[in-house]
Amino acid sequence: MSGKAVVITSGKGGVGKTTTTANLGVALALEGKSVVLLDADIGLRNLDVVLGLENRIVYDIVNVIDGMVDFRKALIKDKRVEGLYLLPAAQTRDKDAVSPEQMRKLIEDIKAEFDYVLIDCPAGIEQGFLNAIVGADEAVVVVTPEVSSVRDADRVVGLLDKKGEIPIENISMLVNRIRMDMVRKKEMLDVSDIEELLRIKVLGVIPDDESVIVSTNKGEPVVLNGKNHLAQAYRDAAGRILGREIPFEEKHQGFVGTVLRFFGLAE
Amino acid sequence: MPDNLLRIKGSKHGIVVQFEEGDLEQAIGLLEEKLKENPGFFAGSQAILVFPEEAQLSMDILAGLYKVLEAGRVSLREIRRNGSVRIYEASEPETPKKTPDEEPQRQLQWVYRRLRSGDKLSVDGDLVLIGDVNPGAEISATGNILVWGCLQGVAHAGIHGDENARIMALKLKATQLRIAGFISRAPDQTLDPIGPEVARVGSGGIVIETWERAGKGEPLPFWRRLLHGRED
Repeated sequence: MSGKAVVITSGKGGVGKTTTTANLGVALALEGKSVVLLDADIGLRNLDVVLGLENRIVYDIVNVIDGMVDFRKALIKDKRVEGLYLLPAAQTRDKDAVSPEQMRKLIEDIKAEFDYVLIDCPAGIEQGFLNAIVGADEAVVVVTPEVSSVRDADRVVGLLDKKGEIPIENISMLVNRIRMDMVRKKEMLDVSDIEELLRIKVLGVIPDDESVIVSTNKGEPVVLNGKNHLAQAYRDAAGRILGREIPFEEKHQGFVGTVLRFFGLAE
Repeated sequence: MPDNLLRIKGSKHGIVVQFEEGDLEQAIGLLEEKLKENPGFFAGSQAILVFPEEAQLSMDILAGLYKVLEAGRVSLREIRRNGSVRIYEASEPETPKKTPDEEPQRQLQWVYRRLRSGDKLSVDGDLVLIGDVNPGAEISATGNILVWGCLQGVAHAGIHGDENARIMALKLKATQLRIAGFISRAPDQTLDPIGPEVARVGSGGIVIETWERAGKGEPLPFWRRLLHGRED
């Protein structure tokens, strides 16, 4: 089996990379895929916390790369969803503990046995970023509707494209934390503004919602609790990763439908 | 070293180095430092040297100056004394005899790409860019710049001092425009341009005109307010 590696990145910090990684991972696993979530933010690990798996960490990515344990042994299996695994970052080391070549090798090894590797990229464009993108086949750029976030996303898209690692057609964006009330009042950028600048395909549009904060603190990704519009937005994004054509219009009734119609993404 | 020994200004014909009264050798040392500090800015330009009337210009001094300029890749165009007397003028570079209305050969570069934040593009000659220039990107050329797309970053035309250079874009929304030594920033309240525009150096700074009216008759009042001023 040869799986796909997808890096979740953004440039700017605090836009929701880790939450996105966790939710897309859960959504893919719910589709019956085997998924490894790889936390590449060495020294500032969070993904384990967001997934509620912190207390089960024994080995981390640096242990694997140092050859101390096999990666299969370091993987933490999620009990709630079949097929979901976490390879946590090391908290006591820093980004220099890993080289791009080691990272590429590790991801190749995991891809040989799993359908998807989702890599949670650290903020910034330095060594940690370079390590995180080196083994990826596709990239999801998380962007919030703020000028600074869009600017950083643009820079990151340029870097991904230029490094020759990820061709532009394999880069998509996920617009996070959009607030329709503010878009209507023209106080917030809308999806088409962002699209016009970045010129990459839209993987998903996630509305701003307090329940994300609650679920993050509880360590339960929102996708796990069923049917709200937020969970649906993540599931749609995951479906598009799987290559499904999910038209924005049909799936979205109710709030998200209103959102997308407003953007002109739906009829 | 006293700083008031020389002044360097930009002009249409190149950089003007004005020597003030005082020790010439010290002044030459100072010039050397300045050229070294900012090689990218001076390299390739022409210099006009202006001396005070009383200055003693020995062969040694001139030879030393020539060396300093050569090291900084600046060619000597003219030497003058204050007031009027022209001591030296570079002969026109050997170009094939041209008919009066023939333009000198310029390089034209076509570039097909989108420049994203952090990208930089600099060309020798004129630049035609097919694509957008996103905010945070920079383009520059020694000649004109034409952007067949939306220009939102920083553009610098005539980087070696050509004040006749122009910047043109289908959608001119640059954060900053620079032509030769002039610099202007976008107005704080940005309006979307109604059509293609041309920026050039007008009286007092950089002016913007709509495509259709550019170069026709009297310069028009700016339909869009731009703050402009000379770089100092």
